[in-house]
Amino acid sequence: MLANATTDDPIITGATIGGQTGGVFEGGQLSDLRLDTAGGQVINFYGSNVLVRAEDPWAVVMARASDGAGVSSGLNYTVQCRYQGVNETQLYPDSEGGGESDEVGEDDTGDDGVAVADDEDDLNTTSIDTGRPMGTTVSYIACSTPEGAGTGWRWDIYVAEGRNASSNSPLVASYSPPRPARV
Amino acid sequence: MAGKSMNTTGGDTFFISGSQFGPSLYSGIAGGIRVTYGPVGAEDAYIARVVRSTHEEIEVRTAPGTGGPHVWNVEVAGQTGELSDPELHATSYLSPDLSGVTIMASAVGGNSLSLPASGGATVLVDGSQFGPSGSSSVMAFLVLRSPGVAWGIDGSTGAGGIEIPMESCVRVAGMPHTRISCRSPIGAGTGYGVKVVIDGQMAELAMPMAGGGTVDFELPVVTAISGSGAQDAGTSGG
Repeated sequence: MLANATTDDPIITGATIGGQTGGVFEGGQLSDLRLDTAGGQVINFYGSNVLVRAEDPWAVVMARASDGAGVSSGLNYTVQCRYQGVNETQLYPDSEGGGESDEVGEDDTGDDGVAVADDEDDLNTTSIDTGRPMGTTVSYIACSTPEGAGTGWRWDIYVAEGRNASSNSPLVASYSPPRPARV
Repeated sequence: MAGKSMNTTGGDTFFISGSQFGPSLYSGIAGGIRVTYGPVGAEDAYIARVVRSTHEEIEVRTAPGTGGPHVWNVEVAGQTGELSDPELHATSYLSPDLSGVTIMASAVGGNSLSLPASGGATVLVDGSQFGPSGSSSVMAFLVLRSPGVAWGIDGSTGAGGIEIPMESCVRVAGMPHTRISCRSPIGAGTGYGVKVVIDGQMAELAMPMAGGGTVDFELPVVTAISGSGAQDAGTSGG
């Protein structure tokens, strides 16, 4: 099963921010979401087959897709994100079976608990797979949005081994337009 | 309408408050933040200079201009936002203010106390808030508010008086906000004031000449009388 997980491409299937649900790709687009220009919002990306080794650096990069709207190019952000909703039911069972859940760095040989990153016999992997029987709870990647403005901001999500998570919908978001109130 | 006022010379400080104005660095990027204002339908007539910005406030300096009311627009990274109640927050440039009139005796200088009936004299109108060079047109009039006759602007009553437009009015180069130059019209009579209309805003001064006098046309001068009755005319007439 673990081998299958490593060969399955990670895919982002939806996103939400605050109370907005336009980023759920069934019937919506990420571009339907509106980010606050001040940043600091939590945007959650749902996915499947998101495989990561805890000690591997990974990041979500938000970059301007184009020079549109007359704004100079070269603006981009590297956004640090973290996994959320990860619990034991969402982790692959150790192939050896039995035993307690692992702690990071613990040798879980012989265990049948869940795998935790950096164990040699787990191939240093932890899998979040919402589509598998063990993953009954939706998992997601939580990112804090950077400050910005304008439209056409593309999210590039990199996961383990430098792989870029794919999506069946463009991961392009826009900031809210300005709302002047008084002069 | 609140109608905050701006000097026609520009440079006034305004603050626009709201939300979603973007990071401060956008105020330093071409096309990052653009603040414009103008009459309804031409809201980009004037571009305010963005001094600094936060996500909730933009500080700008106004441009030289005239007229009003002007409504404001904010564009951030290509996205535009209008004020939710633009008329409530509209601003206007100050109306022109008149201080006096000088009649040039000739093109080379010297002042005159009256206008030639044949027109063509240079009339300088001084004041403030006339607007920048090359902006909206300038109109000036000689006005006689109490002509004492039964005719005038509003028909047969004479109320409102007489207005005679002056010709070829322009802002004087080098001092456009404070001086207008016109050519005097053909006319006659005394007791005229002066009126200026710039971009729909009006100012009037009843006694514009130095010392508080009115603008007068030169008095008629009789130089000769000819004809059969010019000499030894009969007392019975005809």
